[in-house]
Amino acid sequence: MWKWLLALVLIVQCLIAIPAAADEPFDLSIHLPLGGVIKNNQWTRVEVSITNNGGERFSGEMEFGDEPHSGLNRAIYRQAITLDAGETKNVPIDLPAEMLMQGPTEVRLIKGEQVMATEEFPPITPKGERVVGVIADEPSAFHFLAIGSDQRLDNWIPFTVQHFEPDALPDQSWILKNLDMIAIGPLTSGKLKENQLAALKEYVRRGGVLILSARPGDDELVQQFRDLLPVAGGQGGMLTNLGELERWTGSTPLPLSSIPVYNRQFLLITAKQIDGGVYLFANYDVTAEPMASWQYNRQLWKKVLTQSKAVERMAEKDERSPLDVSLVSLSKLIPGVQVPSVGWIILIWLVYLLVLAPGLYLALKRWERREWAWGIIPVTAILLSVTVYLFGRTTVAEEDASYRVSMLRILDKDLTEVQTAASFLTVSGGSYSVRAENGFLAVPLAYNQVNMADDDTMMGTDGQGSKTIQFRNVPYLSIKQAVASGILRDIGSFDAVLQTNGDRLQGVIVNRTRLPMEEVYLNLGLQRIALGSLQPGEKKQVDAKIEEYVFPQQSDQDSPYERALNREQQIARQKEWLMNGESNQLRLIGVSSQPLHTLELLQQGQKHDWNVVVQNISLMPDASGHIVYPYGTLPVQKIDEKGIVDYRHPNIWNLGRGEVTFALSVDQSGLDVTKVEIPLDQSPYRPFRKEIYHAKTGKWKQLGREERVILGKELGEYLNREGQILVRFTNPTDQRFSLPQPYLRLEGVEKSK
Amino acid sequence: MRDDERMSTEELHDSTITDLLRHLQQLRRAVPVNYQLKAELREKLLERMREMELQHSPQPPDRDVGRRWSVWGIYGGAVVLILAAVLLLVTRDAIVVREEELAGLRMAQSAEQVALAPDGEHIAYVANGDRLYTRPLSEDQQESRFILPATTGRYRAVAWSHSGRQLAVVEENQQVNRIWLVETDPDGAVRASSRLLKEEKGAVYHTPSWSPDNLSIAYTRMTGGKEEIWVSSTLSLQEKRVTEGSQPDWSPDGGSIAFVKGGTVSVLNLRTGEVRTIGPGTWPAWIAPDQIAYTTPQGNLVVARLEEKSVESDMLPVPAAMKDRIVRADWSRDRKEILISYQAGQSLAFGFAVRR
Repeated sequence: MWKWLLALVLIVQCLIAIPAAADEPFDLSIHLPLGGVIKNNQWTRVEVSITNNGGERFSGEMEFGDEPHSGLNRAIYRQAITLDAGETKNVPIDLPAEMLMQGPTEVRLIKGEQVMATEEFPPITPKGERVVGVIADEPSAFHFLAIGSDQRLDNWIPFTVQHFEPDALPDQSWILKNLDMIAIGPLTSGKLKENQLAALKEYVRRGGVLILSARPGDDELVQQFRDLLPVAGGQGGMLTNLGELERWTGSTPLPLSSIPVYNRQFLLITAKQIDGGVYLFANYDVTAEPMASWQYNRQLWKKVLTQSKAVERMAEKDERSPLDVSLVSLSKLIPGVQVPSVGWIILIWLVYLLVLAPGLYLALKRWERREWAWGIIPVTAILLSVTVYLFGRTTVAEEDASYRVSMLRILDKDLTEVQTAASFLTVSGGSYSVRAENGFLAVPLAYNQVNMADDDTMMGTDGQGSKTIQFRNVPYLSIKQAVASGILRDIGSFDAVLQTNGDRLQGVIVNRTRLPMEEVYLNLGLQRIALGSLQPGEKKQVDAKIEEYVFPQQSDQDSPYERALNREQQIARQKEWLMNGESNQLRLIGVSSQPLHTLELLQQGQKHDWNVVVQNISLMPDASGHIVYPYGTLPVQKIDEKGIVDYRHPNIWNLGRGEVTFALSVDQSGLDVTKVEIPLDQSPYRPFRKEIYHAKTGKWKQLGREERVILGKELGEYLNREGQILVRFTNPTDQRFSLPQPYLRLEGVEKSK
Repeated sequence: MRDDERMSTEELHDSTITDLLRHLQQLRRAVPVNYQLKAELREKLLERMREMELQHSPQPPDRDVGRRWSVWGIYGGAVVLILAAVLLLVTRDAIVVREEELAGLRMAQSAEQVALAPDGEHIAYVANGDRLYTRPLSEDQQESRFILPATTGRYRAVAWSHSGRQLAVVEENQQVNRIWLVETDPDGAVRASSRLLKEEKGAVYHTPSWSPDNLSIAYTRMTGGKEEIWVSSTLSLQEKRVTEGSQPDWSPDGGSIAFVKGGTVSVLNLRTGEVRTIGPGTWPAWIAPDQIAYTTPQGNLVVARLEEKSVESDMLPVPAAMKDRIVRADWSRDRKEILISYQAGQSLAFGFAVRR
């Protein structure tokens, strides 16, 4: 019997059509923008050029997936394509960069079951360094921005500089986001097109850092960016006040006594926060000697990038992956849908196999009807399957359902970045389509992230240019997932006027978004202040005590992926994790269930939405220009560690015999700092030996066990060139101690403009 | 042959047949007897064959015996069920000892030196004043030792967080008293780290108790002979005094604290500040949102049910070995497992029990 079965299997294998690779009729080539520079947490574009050299019209599919010998078998992206004879088409594939890094991939042209042409995708590695894209006439322009590439002493992520021709600059801001910084100029006028300029400006608003260097007379170039920073032309000349540079040289004379600048009324370098990003205007030609080769040039720019918060913005821009695990996991937990446990299904079948089927057989044997078993047992198996399906279907879900979970980052009243993960469940399965919001990027996801090759999923574009995803031949009660990212311009923003008054945070918040918020919180560093619900247009007074939070709330909470948690607990924990953002900021966080239609299931069914809305808030000075930054709202960086150091929670380090050094940013542009407090007298810091760096003498000073650092007039003595205070913690014992990140409170007065 | 001879032959044949028939009739009359005999012989033969078969092969079950067993089985099962039901009813709400005395804990000088984990499967204890151990209550796992910060004093109290991930440990020192939070590292005790929650000169701390959300710790703070209950945040280090008393225990919803003052158990509503007296006793422990178990001055356990306007108290049946000697009952999160400390001669013993 088994020989017959084996023979049957072999025959079937032989009958499976082996795709034959055909060559010549088609030419495939792949191009990556930005010279292949990609960031792990960004979207990117793969441009595929296809030429039909054959004499016939081609109608088939273009597929982007794993190479056959890679061991995986996934089609990451698939779309229909038609080519007339002799036609060349450029087909863009937009997808998260992370998907390109999961193994060797190729692009395939398929007709039916036959692969007509393939082209291997070039291996790419995301840059570990920060990448500065330079567009300038001079090829070596901005070379000094390769900061820290030859040294990693202070935990500064090094920059690498890459030169681009103006033509090569993409005109989509989301592609530009694969660059950490863009530096322009000096540049011959007319080289940047309107769409490229628009993309550059949107790139800055979306968290990018843009440097523009201008020579005297570069009016056309500078005026193209006047809506970012208006700098009047025709006021060029020589800048003789070089105090900005002198603090770097100390007693060493500067290489020049004056610098030709574009506008004499402006500083050498001006920084401006533009929504989520930073615009840095260099009022001089950075490529001109001797400044271009000046030995302190790197330190100068390092300070500028730190002080202007450009470094922070770069980190924020890459904060969340398009395939954010938290969003994707939460979206699987569709409200009202209870996917049956596999254990129950196995149990039912075990009961049938071990109890019902033998029982039937014995009964038939007793009644001397054994030969009926050949029919009765298979029929009962079918009946059981049908019964389980009919009964189970209604317990899982009564109708089709979808669940969209979105993270919204409000950058301005007309600019909100949205990232959505969505799950779709159809009771009867079959085929259905999902449409992304116009202008949004979208890709389907494998539900279990394992094998997509059997998924019959097709990308497409509808008549309005919106991306569509067609899921075909979906088994009944199967969940399909997709992610999407893009910009919405009609969300609005919160208006927040908040000030610190002693140990209280006071002010008013107005919801000027179109979203009703079920819950609103103020995250003041690690402290969360609940404000309740806030409807559109509603105003809420804030008057809360500012606490010195030292530890993040998650430090003793279960991970949302703990198996011991039931479904409701998992949902609650995952939502909690999504709402907990980075510390060292003041943020408004709102929760809303308003539908956003970023990914729309194109058929009837239950549709659920859950949105987290985040907006960074700035504290306002009081009437006298006095401003206080409470604990946890200013950046702190770990810059060095030695010995036994590890950490399992954000902002908490476990220190055995070793030391950790932190840099607390104090120097704020536009602010005269009058007082800094670092509460190192708090009990978590007491087991450590503490030292503070006295920059003036270049020595480390030991602090007392219960000493709180308060710096006023002597603050300048402790600030390093980057405008930071350095604090070092040492544990000389083998006992491991938990060390929370130190925080500071800063008081200052706005600089008069 | 001639006709007359044929005729006589025929006549002779007739008489012979007649005689034969008559003889057959006679024989037939005798046949029943023979048939009967035959049947008896046949039966005997079959019986003998059966006996021989039984001798060579196992005897088939006797249908009658099988039926008898079925009846007895059903009857016995019913009896067992009835007995079980009776036992269940009779022993409802009883505490059943699993282990009368846990080994290696006799050195403990106070009930707060040993604590039951929220999962009811582990205990933590401080030994010799400078060592911290966690031990599983099942025998097939080993205990873990945690390195505590070096001290010239001694460690005197331990309490598990509700997540089971941290232990609050009280250090008593002549110069300064401290509360440490020690991580119960899943990678091993060697990598576990500690952090200092509180440090104070001139005050003595004891009986720490974690809030249900693990964000606060209530503890007794004694200065100048006066005991007060304080609550410290584990995140912001904010602290406040809540009331006079000792031995705090948080309610499951975190809205109240049970405590002892002047030998009486009371409950403080943290939101309203209202204090409600429960009864004379010590070591209160919330076992339900509206129930508190505590130890009576006589050394037994009482469960107090907090009604809206009154308190209903019932004695909890305790194992005979511990009756009148109980010091403290430490409950697991699901309130089914109990670590009972009781007086055993001059020292304290710790037993493990379950509640039905």
